[in-house]
Amino acid sequence: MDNLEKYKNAFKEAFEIDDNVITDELAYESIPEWDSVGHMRLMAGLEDAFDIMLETEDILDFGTFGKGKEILLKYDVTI
Amino acid sequence: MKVKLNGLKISHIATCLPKKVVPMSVYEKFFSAKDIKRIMESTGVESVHVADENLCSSDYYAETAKRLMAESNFKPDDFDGIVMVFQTPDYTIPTAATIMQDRLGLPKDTVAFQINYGCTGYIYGIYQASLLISSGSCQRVLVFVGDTHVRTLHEEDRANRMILGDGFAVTIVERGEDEFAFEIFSDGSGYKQLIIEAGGFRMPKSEKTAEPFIDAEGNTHWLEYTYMDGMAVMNFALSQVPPLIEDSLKFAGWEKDSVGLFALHQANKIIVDFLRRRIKVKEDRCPNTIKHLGNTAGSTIPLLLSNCHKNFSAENLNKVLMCGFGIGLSLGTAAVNLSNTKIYDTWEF
Repeated sequence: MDNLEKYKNAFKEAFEIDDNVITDELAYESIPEWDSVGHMRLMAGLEDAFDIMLETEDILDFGTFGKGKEILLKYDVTI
Repeated sequence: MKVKLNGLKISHIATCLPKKVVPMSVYEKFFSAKDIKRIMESTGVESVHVADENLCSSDYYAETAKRLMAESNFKPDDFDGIVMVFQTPDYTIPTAATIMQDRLGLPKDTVAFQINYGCTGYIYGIYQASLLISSGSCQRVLVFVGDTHVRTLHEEDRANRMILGDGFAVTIVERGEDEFAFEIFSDGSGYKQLIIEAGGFRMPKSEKTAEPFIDAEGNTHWLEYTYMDGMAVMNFALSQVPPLIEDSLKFAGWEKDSVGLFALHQANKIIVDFLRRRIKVKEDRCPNTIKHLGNTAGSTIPLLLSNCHKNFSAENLNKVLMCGFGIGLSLGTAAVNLSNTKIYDTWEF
């Protein structure tokens, strides 16, 4: 499984959504599932998937699917 | 603020839950089954206890204190201090603490405080009681924490309804040989992140405050009920709690590996797990007990102790780091010895 697939899976599992909902523009609170609880579930899923520990400011900044790719670069994860 | 106080002992911890249990499935009338499953998996909460609508927090306190006195062979005259830390008092005025003094038959020279805190309440309660004892003001103090929080939530408030529960605790702090280390921080800039805005003197209840309103993000708010900005409070916890715990260990002079139990406020499972990973402690020393309790605000730490004390030896409980965080915003730690503390299994009333 490549990193993009792992990344998408983290979103699908955290929010229980289909592939077609996932775009770079998918944003916090743009769907009911991406609320504060869903956000933390996503962060936990990403930490498990890529064996990383996100900094608090990155958890706060992680506002869209696209922005998340940039943040993960800081952890040597290229999507 | 950080301080070490001496000549102390936490001798007894008793907790109680209301008999009524509400499983999360009851919210299917408001939310989809898919939503409920997703939230349950994230928060770790499957059911909560909810107080009888005819009873106040103080009623649960009184029953717990009376049973505790009976079980521990203490008489009302053995106490000279009351510290009640909660947010659901019987009346706006007077303080519930003096009413409790009379209700339990404690002596009239009892010092009685009511302090307004929620999730940091247990730390404040133990701290205030420790101050009373270490100053020589009191010999033995009853500390009450916990709230009838569920009735402060609007019935359509999904975020809070599926996390918060009711629960109560009574702790006896008295003269002893132990030293406790406390660290407490306040950040009132975030006070609106967890608030019941209407009903005080700043914004009295009115026809207007009785109506829900939609904020800029499209979320519904009810000014007369508890509002929580979940993301802001989570960010506060994640950014502030791990460094506070590391600093508290240094201040107490404890190596992390020597601590038998990290008793964190049980906000929800995902927050406890996140914090545990960041302080690099395994789950056996930093448990979560939220599954059938929910977040019971100030009483989560003593309820955790009641639930899991049998998993820990006296040696393990020699060094316990308790940490509360939340409303205010506020956070604090207490590094205490519970190896000689009688901790009861939770009672139901």
